[in-house]
Amino acid sequence: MLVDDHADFRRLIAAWLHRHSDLEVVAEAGSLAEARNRTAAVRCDVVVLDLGLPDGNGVDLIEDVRESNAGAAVLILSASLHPTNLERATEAGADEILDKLASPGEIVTTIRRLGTGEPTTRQE
Amino acid sequence: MSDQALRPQDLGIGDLFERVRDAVIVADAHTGRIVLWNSAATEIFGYSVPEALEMNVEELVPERLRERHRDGLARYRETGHGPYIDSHRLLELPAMRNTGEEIRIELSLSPVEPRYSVGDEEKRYALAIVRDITARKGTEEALRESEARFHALVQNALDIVMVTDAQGTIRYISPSIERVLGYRPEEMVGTSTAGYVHADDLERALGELAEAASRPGVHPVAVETRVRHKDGSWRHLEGIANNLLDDPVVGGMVFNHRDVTERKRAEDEVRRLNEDLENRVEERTARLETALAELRASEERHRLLVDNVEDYAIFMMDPNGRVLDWNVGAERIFGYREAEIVGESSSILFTPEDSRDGAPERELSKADKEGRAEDERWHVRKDGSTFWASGFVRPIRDDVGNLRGFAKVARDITERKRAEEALSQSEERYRAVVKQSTDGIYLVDGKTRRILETNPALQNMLGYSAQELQGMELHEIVAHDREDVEANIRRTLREGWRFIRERRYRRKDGSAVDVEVVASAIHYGGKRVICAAIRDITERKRAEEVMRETREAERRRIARDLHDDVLQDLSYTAAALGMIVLDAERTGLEDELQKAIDALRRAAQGLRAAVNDLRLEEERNRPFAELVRYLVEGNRARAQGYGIRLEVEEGFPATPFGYAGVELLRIIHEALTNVRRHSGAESVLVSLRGEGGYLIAEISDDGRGFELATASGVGLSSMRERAAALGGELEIESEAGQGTTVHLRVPLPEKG
Repeated sequence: MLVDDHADFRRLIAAWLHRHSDLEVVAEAGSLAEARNRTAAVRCDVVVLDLGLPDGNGVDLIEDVRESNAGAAVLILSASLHPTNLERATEAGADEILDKLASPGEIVTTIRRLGTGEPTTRQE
Repeated sequence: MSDQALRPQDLGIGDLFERVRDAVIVADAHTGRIVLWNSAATEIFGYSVPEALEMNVEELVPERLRERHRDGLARYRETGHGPYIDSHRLLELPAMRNTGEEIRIELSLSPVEPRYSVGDEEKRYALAIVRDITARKGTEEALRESEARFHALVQNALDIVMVTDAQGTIRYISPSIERVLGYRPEEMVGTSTAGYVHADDLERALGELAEAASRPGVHPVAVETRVRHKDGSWRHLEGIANNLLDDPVVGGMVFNHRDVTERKRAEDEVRRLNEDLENRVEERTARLETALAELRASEERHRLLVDNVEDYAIFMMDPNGRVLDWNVGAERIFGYREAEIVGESSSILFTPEDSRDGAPERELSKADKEGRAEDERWHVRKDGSTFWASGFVRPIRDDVGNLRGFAKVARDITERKRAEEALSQSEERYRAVVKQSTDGIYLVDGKTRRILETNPALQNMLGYSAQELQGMELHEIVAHDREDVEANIRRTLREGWRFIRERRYRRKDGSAVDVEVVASAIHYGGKRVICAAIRDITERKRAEEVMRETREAERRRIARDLHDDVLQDLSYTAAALGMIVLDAERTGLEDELQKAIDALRRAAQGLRAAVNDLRLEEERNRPFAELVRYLVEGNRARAQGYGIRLEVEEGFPATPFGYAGVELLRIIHEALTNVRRHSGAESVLVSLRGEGGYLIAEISDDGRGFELATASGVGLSSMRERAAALGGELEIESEAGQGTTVHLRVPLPEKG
């Protein structure tokens, strides 16, 4: 599931992930409220989560994810890398934090690794 | 009275009475009245017959003998007898003449009984036969005295008697010689006198002898010579020689000598003393003359001095205040030449007002009465201008204390007065300023740290009275620890001036007041004193707080905009380009695209750092060291080709520093930005440590460095301002090619 209020970026990632057969985007959300609805409705292995959402901070969703998709990993994909936010994310139980400026390849590799629960070799 | 007088014939002595040369006097034994007096009595006593017959015989008796006279007369009156009257002896007594002169009389007394009675009463009379022996008495006494003198002379004055023959051989010499020369007479008899005489005196002695020899008889010739004593010492003899060679009894030269050695010695001594005295007197006189000359010179100098003293007007006045003389100082100060003012009244030197008011006269009369009149007043120059003079007048008196005039000494002290007035005005102004100042001002003793003076503003600010504040220790009103206050005092005294942007003072009620302090070290009353002005910055702080909040809100908004919009778009663009580049393989555009992506990423990272920087305030409650670590990490991510290390001293406070910490971070951030942009360094070291209440942060690089003198830029000055605002300081050490070290030293911020 992809949660990001920047619609273009979200669709770009979704399109990019679609190119990979082993990866499927089950849900997208542009706000915290939407994301809460979606996460309760779908099953997923990885939640890619942006922190700065219009109606709240992305880390607040982590708790919901843990309830509805206990096995899912949470990847924070943030542009800010602000210490306060990163700390909060870690505290809230984020599994991985990745800079939004990372290359698409790196993003896919990280999602794949989190999704299989195994370390995977970096692919670009 | 005369009826009581007797006539001589009544007594049977008839004219014999008048013919005798002796005074015949009869007196009434009962009354003492003289009843008979002859002309010889008049001659002796001076009283005429009629005078005498009015007198009491007692008047002829000297005062001291009258008592005895009366007793004798009384006994005779009663008994008809008496020791003198019966004795028929000649009595020698003193008596009084009419001139009051005492004379000597010889007297015989006899009782006289008249042949017939006068009346019933039996009368007794006394007859005195009197002879004046005063002259005889005088001759006798003169003779006796003369004999006594002669005797004494022989006995005592002429000690030695010597008789020689014509050749000078001693025939006789008196025994007294032994006492004088130590020889017994028999040792000397037969020897020559010349053998005893001093060689130097021999010629003269022989001459004297020859002279005596040439004049036979009693013609004394003075002789004087030194003679040898038996013990070899010399005795000085002087005396007379008589040539009695022809006298049948003596038949020799007779010498009467006396030893005058002691006298000579005494004379010598006296002469010596006299000479000595003369010398001394001469010396003394010379000295006195020298002293007098010096005194004259000194007087001359003094006169010259008075005449030439230019700074003081010195002049004399007669008792009425008319000028008698005038020195150059007076001429210079008052403008009158001596010739112009001598004879004028000194009151022309006073202002017309003072003159009308009688000040000149008052001054003189005060000097006369009290010995000195001293004052400061306006005086008038010849040209009419005035000046402020300080001076005194003293009276001049002669030997017996009469006032002869006055001396006045005056000095122009206009400049001094002006300076004093200016000073006092300046002091007044200063005092007014201090008093009315809204800043709290106090003086504190640099040594005791005790408050010396305060102004009303300070008293209001702290809620103490002036009396309470005076003497309080500075520590009592400054709400910082003693060590910190001491450090500030020392630094102010050392550097002379100090500005403390934020300080907290304590009011009497215990509450705190935020102030800024300007302190300067001054000399005041001979002490090193700190003068401090403190300004209540509660309002300023509040305003600053509002400003900060506003600024912060603004920053947050910008940061959010940048982050939520720009950064997201950049992220999207970078990601999109990243996908495109994967599809652009072998199109020949992939390299260009990759460069664009990299640039975009750097831009995004820069933007993100800026955003984080804008949001630093939000981080103020994080431990300062941790914020520094984030900062270093953030910079490391953007560092190209160099490494950044962070060293935090063990035990460095793990506490947040609040806004102060944020400011410190900005300084360090600025320093790191400089390193990144300008240094070309290969490695950078950031270190944090504490040192005696101070935080020391150092950012040092091994880059190219720069010449401080030519260095400029907003960066350096803003860093310095920030450090100063925190009460600290920032030093930059740099030399071309030697790297740069930024040294930041600020008081360790309290948790806040």
